[in-house]
Amino acid sequence: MIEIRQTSPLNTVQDLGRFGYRRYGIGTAGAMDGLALAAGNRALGNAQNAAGVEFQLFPATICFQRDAAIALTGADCAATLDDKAIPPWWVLPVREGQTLKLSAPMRGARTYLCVAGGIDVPEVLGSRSTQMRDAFGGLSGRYLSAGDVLSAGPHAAFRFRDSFGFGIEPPESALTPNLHDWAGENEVVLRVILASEAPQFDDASLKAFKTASWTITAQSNRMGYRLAGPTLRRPDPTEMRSQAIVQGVVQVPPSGQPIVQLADGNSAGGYPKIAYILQSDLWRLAQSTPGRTLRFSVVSLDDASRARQQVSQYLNELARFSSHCRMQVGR
Amino acid sequence: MSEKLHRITAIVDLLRRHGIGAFELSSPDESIKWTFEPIASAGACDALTPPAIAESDLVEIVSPGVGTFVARHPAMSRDLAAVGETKREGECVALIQSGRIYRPVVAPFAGAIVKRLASPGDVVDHARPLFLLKRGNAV
Amino acid sequence: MSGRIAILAEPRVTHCGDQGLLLEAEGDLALPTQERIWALNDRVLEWPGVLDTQPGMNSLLVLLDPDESDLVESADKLLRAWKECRSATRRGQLLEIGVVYGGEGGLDLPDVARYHGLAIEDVVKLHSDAEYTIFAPGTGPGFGYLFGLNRRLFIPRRNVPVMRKVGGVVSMAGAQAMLGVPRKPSGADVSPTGWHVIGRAPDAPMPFDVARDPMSIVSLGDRIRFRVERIER
Repeated sequence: MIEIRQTSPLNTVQDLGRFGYRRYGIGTAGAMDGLALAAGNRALGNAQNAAGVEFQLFPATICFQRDAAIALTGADCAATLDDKAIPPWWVLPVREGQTLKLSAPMRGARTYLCVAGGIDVPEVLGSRSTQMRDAFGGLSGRYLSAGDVLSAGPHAAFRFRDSFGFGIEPPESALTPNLHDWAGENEVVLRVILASEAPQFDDASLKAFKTASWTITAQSNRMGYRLAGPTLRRPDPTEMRSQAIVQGVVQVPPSGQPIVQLADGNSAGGYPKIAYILQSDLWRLAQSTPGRTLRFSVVSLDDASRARQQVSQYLNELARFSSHCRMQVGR
Repeated sequence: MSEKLHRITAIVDLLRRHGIGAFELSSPDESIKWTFEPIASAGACDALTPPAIAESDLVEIVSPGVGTFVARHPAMSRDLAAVGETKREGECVALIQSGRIYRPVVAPFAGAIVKRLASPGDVVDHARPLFLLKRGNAV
Repeated sequence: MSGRIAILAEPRVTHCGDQGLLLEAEGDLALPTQERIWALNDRVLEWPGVLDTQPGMNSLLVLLDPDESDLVESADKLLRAWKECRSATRRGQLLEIGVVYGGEGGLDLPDVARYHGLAIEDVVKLHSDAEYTIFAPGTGPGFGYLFGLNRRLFIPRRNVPVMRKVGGVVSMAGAQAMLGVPRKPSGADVSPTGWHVIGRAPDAPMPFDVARDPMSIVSLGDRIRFRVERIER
């Protein structure tokens, strides 16, 4: 049992998203940084898709009403357990009565709290993700608020070899090439595949898309990120029909300033699409805050497939190495 | 670092915890032999137990295992412990990476970090001194 | 904006990044073509490695599990399946929805009339004389994108979205029409739109509720007629 003592709005229960109900126009929802959630789950021995809590507004205070094993991944939010500092990307035991505090991250945007057994909320339409637009899934289809109590699902009991727990290497260090130079003021690089409508943009706009630096505007949230940069023009503005769209699509409305649709974005739309961000890179955008600059790097489908294999190898390694840090105890 | 090394580290820790002084394991393609030698260095015992010369003001914080010394977590913008910084008992001051895992290097008691004895990226052995810690809450 | 609509001579399948495929049908928007899209949708949803599917206007999105399906092979398979796919006629239920045209709830009605050089009454008559078919899911669960708008009312999307009141919104863009869901008690009052809002349906039912059985009271292929409650100025 996990009691939310203090929270800001916008924090929700999420898994890796809802699939199979797009015929109703129901979008994916799910963790914005699905890699951080998956990593936390694998480190605890959970199913990759187990639900966790996505924190995107701080501070938050959580009190454990039972012993549990947790993982904190995503942005470093200077977490403390009973006032003792916990490093980011940490997997650890917590005792009944202990208090976890999360503060606003110095960098990065979203922190994930995973718990052994996963957050046990009812599955709605095949997923535990909160669907804010239609108010279902997660905890009663809403943001968490103070006083909410979440419980963990069943799981095999284990002990930690080290009572302090252990850390797991975060993707910005484990994945190559290093496109996410947190320390420097460098841009976050997002790999994209050009969309079929890309040739409809004029040469200068296509060049600008590939080379310019794009600033994340304040109108950026779980629905989508609006970017600011050079104006992208489509010389023959043929009217588009409305089509189903996916997370990570970069649309260009008539203003010429791109919009990236994300977890809670529209499931359909009619704006022309210039590119798609690789699924393997969506976490980089999810952890980038307004004001930060991005650059797009055009890659091939083969590159995308290699990037995906690298991510899945990383998650498998986390699971394997983590299993040596836990000891099963008989039940 | 390889997964094999990571496993060996785990075995060695188990041996140490159970006070086993020597250990040998062989299989058709590999064999490992381990013997504990008493270590003379002051703070060179398990980082989680009080050092032998607890009266001394200056104590070494040593590595909890074999791996790569990490002073700054890749998701953080500063070192886990800077020289001059005061740390509380049980706080993490650095990491030892082995494979995809970090083991914590923990301050055995409250004090100020006087000196760092290893460089980031160094491959360190178990019990290798990593920091000099000056006992007490004030620097 | 030209207001022209791209029409493909041949169907095509393009990649949606590394996540899926988009089949775009040949020709103009038409019921028989869309019926084929729905038939293809039902078929493709059964394929191994398909995570989800969603019809659009004259198109079908197929989300693939990259571990189980090859994007390039699946693209060929999808195009072949489309060519082989026959339309299955679906004549869904007919809903009649009362609309208050113009006024506070239909701010763009005068502009639409001016754009076409029509009287407001003519716009209302052309809009309410037509029978609309739910062609594809919309931006979220609801009444979806409607086909059946009279050609004389085709109007390009706005260049800059405007804020309009939500709740039973009756709007149009390009060759498409839409009926918005009723305002949710906890939801926002206004939302940005590039569509032209000409009226409001005060008594539109809530089309989707996850706690209800059935969750959705409408299906692709259902038809909607708009009844003129009154015209406000």
